[in-house]
Amino acid sequence: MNLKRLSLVFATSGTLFLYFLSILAEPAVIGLEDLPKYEGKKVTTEGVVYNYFTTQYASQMITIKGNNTTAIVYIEGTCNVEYGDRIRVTGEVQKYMDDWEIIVDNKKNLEIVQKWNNLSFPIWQLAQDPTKYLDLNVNVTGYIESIFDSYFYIVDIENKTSLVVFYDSYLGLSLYPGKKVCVLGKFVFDEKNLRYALDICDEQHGIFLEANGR
Amino acid sequence: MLILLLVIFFCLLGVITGIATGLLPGLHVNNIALILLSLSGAFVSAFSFLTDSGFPSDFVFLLIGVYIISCSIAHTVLDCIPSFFLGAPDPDTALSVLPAHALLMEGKGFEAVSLSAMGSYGAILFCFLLLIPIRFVIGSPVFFYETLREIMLFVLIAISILMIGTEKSKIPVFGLKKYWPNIFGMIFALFVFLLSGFFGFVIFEIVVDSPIGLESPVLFPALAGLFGMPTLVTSLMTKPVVPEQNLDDVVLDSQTKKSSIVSIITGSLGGILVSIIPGITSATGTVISMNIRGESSKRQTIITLSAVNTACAFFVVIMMFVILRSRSGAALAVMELISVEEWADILMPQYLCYLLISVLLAGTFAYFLTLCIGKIFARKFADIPYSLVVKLTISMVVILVFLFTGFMGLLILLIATFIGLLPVEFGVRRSHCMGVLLIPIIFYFI
Repeated sequence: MNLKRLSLVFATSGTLFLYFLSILAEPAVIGLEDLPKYEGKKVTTEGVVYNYFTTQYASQMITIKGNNTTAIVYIEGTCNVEYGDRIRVTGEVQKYMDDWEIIVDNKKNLEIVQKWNNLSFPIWQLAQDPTKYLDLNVNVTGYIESIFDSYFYIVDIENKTSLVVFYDSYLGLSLYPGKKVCVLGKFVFDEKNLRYALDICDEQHGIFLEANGR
Repeated sequence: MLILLLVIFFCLLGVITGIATGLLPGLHVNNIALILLSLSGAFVSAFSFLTDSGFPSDFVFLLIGVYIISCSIAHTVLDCIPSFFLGAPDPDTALSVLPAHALLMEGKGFEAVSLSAMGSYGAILFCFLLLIPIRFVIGSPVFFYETLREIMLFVLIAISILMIGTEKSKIPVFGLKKYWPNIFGMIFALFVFLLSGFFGFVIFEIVVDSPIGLESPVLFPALAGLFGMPTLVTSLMTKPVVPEQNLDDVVLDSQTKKSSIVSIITGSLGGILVSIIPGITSATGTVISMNIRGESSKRQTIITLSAVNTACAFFVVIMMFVILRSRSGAALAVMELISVEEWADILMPQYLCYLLISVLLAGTFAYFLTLCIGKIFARKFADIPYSLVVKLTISMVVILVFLFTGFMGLLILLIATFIGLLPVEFGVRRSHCMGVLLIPIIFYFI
């Protein structure tokens, strides 16, 4: 067989062989804390969106948190993520300055596993580890305990833990103590009063009244 | 003053490395940059004494960047020597092999090298003239890159069609005559382009691992296989008889001078385009430039191609600071090392100044060295154990691929070599293998 035919046969069959090999060799699925072990390699990992912004050249930098570790996801183009969304990304691990980055080369390699507003937390769960949810969007269900001009308190059903919710009273909601509400807001630290709070500060945030009261 | 001296010193180190890598047949500048990138950690450790002497670590990274850029510029200018004399072109010089070899067979190999060096150096000088205007066109206030980005998909498709549509090779099939051999040439070019594209998709899904813990760039075995190895393998099989070479310095008449200036200008503009658009190579830039230029004499083709190559190497440095994108292995390596500050005003960032000093110095050194080494080659190349050099280079590439990417990298290298052999064996342009990057990029923009 001459080199012409040999190259034609091996180029085609070799590429197909490599393709089947690539299907078998999936990237390792790791936690964010294991990123340093995989520098320069392709991995799949998950985390909660803690921060995100779009650069001047329409790339997106998404900070994700998980297992007390933070990493930056760099993706060319923009994805429709929000604070508090749990996302799964596949990309190459790189260290940039002091941060671990996951370079995602295709939007298809970023998947929103769970939208923040589809997962409701009980107040006790926030109270158990508040720093885990700090500055994230959360969806909290509870009962109104007391109402003031621009804020109200919600408590869980056992009345053990309460949380203050800052809201815009012009929303015109019919709120009253004992009413069950579902609050979508940002979990923040109220420095002035040294307490955690839910802030209704974005257009995705809101208060939804539930049918059952106490 | 000490800072400037250090920049010059690292520039010289880069030029020396660039001479060595440029003279090795079949080694592409991007492969060199990827190797240097993988070794950047070792460089940082090696030059840690500078940090200990009070220099900020950012500045030490910049010096390594200066080294890499100088190396890439010197490599780009000097790699014409093996491609012209040893018949082992790299992908970006693939189009100039025929004209340069034709001159070599006429005993004018040194003239070919001189013209190439002139094209490269002329491009550097022309690019310096264009520095400020291009900055304003690409960045603010014109934002040409932003406009281009919006239509990038169509630009890339148009370039792909141009590359395949301008394929002039004839492949006779079933004894068909008239225009059929041309059509089969184009169909085969399309096949190579698509196969390389599919190969590109596949390799980006594959995990490669260095057995000694180095960074593992999957593009290294792929590019070495597609563009470097095929020429090395085929050049082992050819034994051309080359006449004695004329070593007289080149004197251009006024008509050729004017024509050469036009070649440098169109070549440089083609190179600038290559430095902006992702996934295309200097060979693509040359096709565009030659189509615009409309002249295809042997000498002008050599000048244009060298101008495209060097203008591209020059402007990828600028583009790092204007559009904050790396468009070559060298730029990628530098962007990994230093924090690039956007060139947003008239005054350019300080780091860019240092890098441009190194580009100008490396270009000047490389120009004179190319003439000098080219003359030595022309005189002595019959004494060079060519076959041994090629075998050693093949061994070196295989060892490097294994060290950086392990057994999987070797498999990628082997398959890429067979794909890279297709255009060489069937006589179509090797730049169609750039489908390996172009097609995944086109799909990215879809």
